Order: sequence, then C-alpha cells, then structure tokens
Amino acid sequence: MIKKIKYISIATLAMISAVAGVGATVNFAHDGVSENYYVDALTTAQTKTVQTKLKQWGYYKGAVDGIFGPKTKEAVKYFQRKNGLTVDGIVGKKTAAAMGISLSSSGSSTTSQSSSDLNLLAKIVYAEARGEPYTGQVAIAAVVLNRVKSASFPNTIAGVIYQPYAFTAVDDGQINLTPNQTAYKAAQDALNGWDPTYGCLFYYNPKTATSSWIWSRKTVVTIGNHVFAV
Amino acid sequence: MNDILDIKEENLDKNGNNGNKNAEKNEKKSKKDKIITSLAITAGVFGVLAVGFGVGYAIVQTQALEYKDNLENIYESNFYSLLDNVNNLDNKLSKTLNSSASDFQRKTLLEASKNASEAEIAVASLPLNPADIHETVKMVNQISGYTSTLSEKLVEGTLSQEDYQMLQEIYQSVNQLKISLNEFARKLNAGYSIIDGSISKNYEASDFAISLSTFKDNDITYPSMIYDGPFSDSVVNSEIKGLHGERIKKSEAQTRLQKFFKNASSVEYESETTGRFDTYNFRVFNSENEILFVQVSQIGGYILTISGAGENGKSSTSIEDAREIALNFAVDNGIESPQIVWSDSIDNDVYFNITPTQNGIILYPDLVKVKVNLTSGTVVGYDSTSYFTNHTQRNLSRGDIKYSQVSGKIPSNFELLQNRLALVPLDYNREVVCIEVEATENGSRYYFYFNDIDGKLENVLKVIETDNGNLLM
Repeated sequence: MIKKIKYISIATLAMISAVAGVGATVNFAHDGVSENYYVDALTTAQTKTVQTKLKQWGYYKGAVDGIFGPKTKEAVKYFQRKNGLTVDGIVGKKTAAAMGISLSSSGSSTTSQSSSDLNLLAKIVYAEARGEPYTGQVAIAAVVLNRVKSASFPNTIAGVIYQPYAFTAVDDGQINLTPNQTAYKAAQDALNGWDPTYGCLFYYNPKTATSSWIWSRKTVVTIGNHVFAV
Repeated sequence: MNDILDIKEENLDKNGNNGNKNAEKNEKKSKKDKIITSLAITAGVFGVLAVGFGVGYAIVQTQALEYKDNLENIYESNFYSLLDNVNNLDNKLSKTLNSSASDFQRKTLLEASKNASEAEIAVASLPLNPADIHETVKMVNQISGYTSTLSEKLVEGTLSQEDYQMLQEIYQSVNQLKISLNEFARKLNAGYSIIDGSISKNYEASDFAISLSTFKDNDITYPSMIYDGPFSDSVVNSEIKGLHGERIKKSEAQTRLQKFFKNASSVEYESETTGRFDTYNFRVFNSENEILFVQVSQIGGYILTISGAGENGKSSTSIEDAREIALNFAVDNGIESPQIVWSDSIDNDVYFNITPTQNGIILYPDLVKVKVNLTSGTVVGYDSTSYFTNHTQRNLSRGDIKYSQVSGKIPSNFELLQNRLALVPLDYNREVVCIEVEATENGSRYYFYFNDIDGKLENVLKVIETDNGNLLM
C-alpha cells in the first residue's frame, strides 16, 4: 500500500512537472536577447579619454577634440611601442587596459548611436542562415537591405524583418536567439555594401519551400542551401 | 465425560474451522479494501490532476484569447490607419488635379506623399503574405516618391501635361483601392476577424489579402512610374556602364583566379550568377581558416566581389601595410588611379573605401570597397559593383569657384580641416563636381559639398558614430 502510494506520487510529480514544463515553455518564448558581445567601440567621448590619457603621459601633443585623427593614431602607436603591445594604432581591449580605461559601450558617450540596425540584421542572419557558408549569411543580410531599398517592401530594416510572414525564423521566434560573431560580421559586410546576390529580393530553400509563388521568381544565384531570386 | 470432551473437541474443531474461515474472509475483505483505497487514491489523484489540467488549460486559454484580442486590435488599428490614409490620398490627389495654383498643388502633393508613405507602413504591418500585397506596397511607395518629386518641381516650375496624365492614372488606381478597402471596412464592422480570416496555411490569398491586391487581376492598370526620385523604376533598371570586354569561359576565369591568388591551396568552381551581373563563382582556399567566395564577371573577367569572414586572432599586419595591400589589390583589378577616401576598423578587419580619380577629382560614384584582415594580412572582402556600374570616361569640366569663396559659407563655429574636389552623385541620376570641405564642430565631423560651378551648397554629410566603429582617418 505504501509502495503504491509512492509510485502514484512519483507519477503525479512527473505529471505536475510536465504541466509546469508546458507553462515554462510558454514563458520562455518571450525571453529577449542578451547583449554580451561587441565592445570594440571608440566613440567621441572615448577618444577624448584616450587623448587626455596620452597627453598626460606625454605621448600626444594635439588637441583633446574627440577625433581619432592621424596625430592621435601616431600617439597610440607610440604608446603601444613603449608598452610592448601590437603596434597597430587601434585602441583595442589590450591597449585600453594598458591605458587603464574601459571600452564598454554603455554609459560614457552621448553622441554615439546604438547599433540596432546591425543587431537586428545579425539576428535575422543567425536565425535564418546559421548553418550556411559565410557568403550565404552575407547574402541573407543583403536581401533584407535590398528589400529596404525596394518599393515593394517596407522602408526600414525593422519594417522588413518584422513584416508578417516575411521570414519563417521571425514567425517561430528563432529571431530571438543570440547571434554569433560570424553573423555579426556578415551583417556588417552587408551594411558596408556587400551584396553577393546583386539586388535579390527573395530566397528560399528548394528542399523545403512550400509556396508555389516563390518558384515563379527569376533565380539569380544559389549559395549554400538557398536559392536567391528577384 | 469422554463424550463431553469429544464434543468440546468437536466444538473446538468446529471453532477452529470457523476461525480459519473468518481469517480468510477478513483477508479477502482487507484486500478488497486495499484495492478500493488505492483505486480511490488513484482516482482522487487523477481527479485533482484533471482539475489542475482543466484550470491550467483555462488559464492558458484565457491568456491566449487575451493575446489574440490584443493582436486583433493592433491589426484593426493598422487597417483603419491604412483606410484613413488611402481616403486622404484619394482626396489630396483629386484636389491637386482640380486646381491650377502651384502653391496649393505643392501643399496637396506633399500631403499626398505623407499619406502614401503612412499607408505603406500600415499595409506592410498587416498579417498578410508579402507575395499577395507587394504590388500594393510598391504602388503606395512609388506614389509617395512621385508626389514628393512633383512638389519639389513646383518650387520653380509648373506641372506638365505628362505629369497631369500620370497623376490622373495614379488617382484612378488609388480610387480603386479606396473602394475595395471601404468595402472591407464594412465587413470588419460586421464582425470579421482579421486574424481568423487572414492566416492561411496553404499560402492561398485570403479574401482580406484580395481586397488589398486589386492589381493582381489586372482590372485596372497601374502605371510604371519613371521620375528622378526614390523608388522610381528608372533607378532600379539603370544600365551598367563600366563593364567591357569579351565574354570569357569558366575555365579562363578559373585560370585567372589561380594566377591572382598565388598562395591559395585551391580554387574550386562553385556556381554561376545570372542577373544584373553574370558571374562565375569560385571558392578560393587561402588557408585552412580562410575560404573566400569570389565572383568573376563573365564579361571582361573582372573580380566583382569577394566575401570571406576573415580570421580571428592576433593582428600581424599594421594599418599602413593593410592600406598598401588594399590599394595594390585595386590596381591589380583595373581600378584607375585609386585613392583611399575612408577607412573603418571593426574587430580584426579594416574596411577601405577606394575611389578612382580623374584629373585629381575623386569619383565617389565609382566607389570600390576592400576589406583586409589584419591576422592573415590578406584581402577577405572586395566589392567593385559600383565601379563597374558607373565608371566611364567622364567629361569633367572645372568650374570657376574657389575654396576661399565657399569656406565663408560654413558657420564660424566649425573648424575647417581639409578640402578637395569630388564628383558627387545627387538626386539619383545626377553627378556634380563639388568642393568637399571637411569640418568639425563640438567633436562631430561633417562634410560640406559646394557646387563647383555656382558655389551652391548641394549636400551636408555628418559622420555618425555607432557603438562599433573605429574611425581612423
């Protein structure tokens, strides 16, 4: 008898936890993306900090104007040479640490603009094409940007990405996965003007595409598993 | 006595027997009880579970319904916003057509442009398959671009006969859309649900989508709009000016790449692109970690684009060396007198914007982009599509305006840095030689462009710094 009750209570526990599990899944669908990546920024305020430090130590003689010009770069190189760092004129994490300043993007600057376009693009790239070759990932971001330019689609990156039924990875919530560094690089390349599809507005995976309409579009190039079309 | 004893024994025996039967009975009873109890407990537990499930389901269901209602409300609000904007657009177009006063027309056209633009935002946020509504989105976007272009034209001139004719055609299309949308609004008023009615699993257009895509069935013709403004059909179909030469074979392209990437372990053919540019596409294995996707134009055999992620690791190349690498790469690919006009470093990659020059004038429309990886010291990204789209030997005549004549037009709180001559693309199809003046104000960097012929300020660009950019020049 006691044994039976034990069994039953175990079964009950299992079932209750299953129910709880269902609840949990529902809730997790709303989890946002944590931003734990991308700190390599040098805003005007940060440049001013760098210039002030370099000036105090005698590496820099120019004005503290927040502009990373040739003089500032030379001063950074001078600093790097003296401190046994890679001499590239860039204030990366190591150089910043050696100067005793923090490069985290939060706080200090007032003129810096958020990279929400880049973040959104990286998210759609990661959600739609994380298994694809690098060029295939650039191509996805390029299609989004081509849609922004096209009359037939919304005129902002957010408008294009969140247009209902435009991307399956947005409909099923994969858009909220945290993108990796490759996705960021691909998004950055597309923002800088790279477009391996030369203006394509559509792409589909021929193995899984269900819409008959999409097959009627003129194919331009196949990259990885995706067919790109106008 | 013996008898009595016997009887007693018999009784005892009987009693003993009786006791055994009772025990059996008792055992059976207690078994039954146990079964009943466990059944009752099981039933009880299941009952509790069922109620729990029921309550849980009801909560989830109520919540889902609440979400659905909220979503339906957002969609309906978007629909009514679309309806209002199309009604207003129709009204503004008819006012423009029925008036001849330029000032009034300018005002109504500007308002029409705003209505069309807001209609676009509303229509694209409705839960409809983009394939079903892209003609409608295109129409409102183009109307917005066209009407704002016309209103600019009215600053100095009047509308031509062709303009009136085009406006008339547009008005008819808008009127058709307006009728269709108003019919749908009556349906919505009678209890139609956008969510229930619009989501189709088989990608078939719902009746809601059909009411928006009046142009699919070709009842009315929607004019092809060609004008010097955003979303014009002429901009989309601009010709390729810079690509010359014979059409080469796939094997020739491969040989060229093998010569070009001398250190690559292999160059493999991947695919072909047929579209605005016809290219052969190859994969170039620079190293174990670096695979490049290279597109070679079929006409002329030029490298049009390279894309590669680039290695992550310790930088072994200086920015100066990277500049040299980028410039040499451009020269090797036939870019005439290249000059670096901008560079930007992100992570381990440096992006260089390079332009050809003609008579010392920077040609911005022919921009080439090169990405150099500082770990491998190689070119991992390249884009010369703008160059091959626009580059041609231009007749660049110098105007009379001197730097000293325009520098005074920049407010005195700006610190002027350098100036140079540049050909700048303006208004989608126009190219103008300008004096480019770089200036800073309160830590922000600006570029001013003054027309080289009349000194008119054509454009001002501001350098926007983002969280991830590292300005080097």
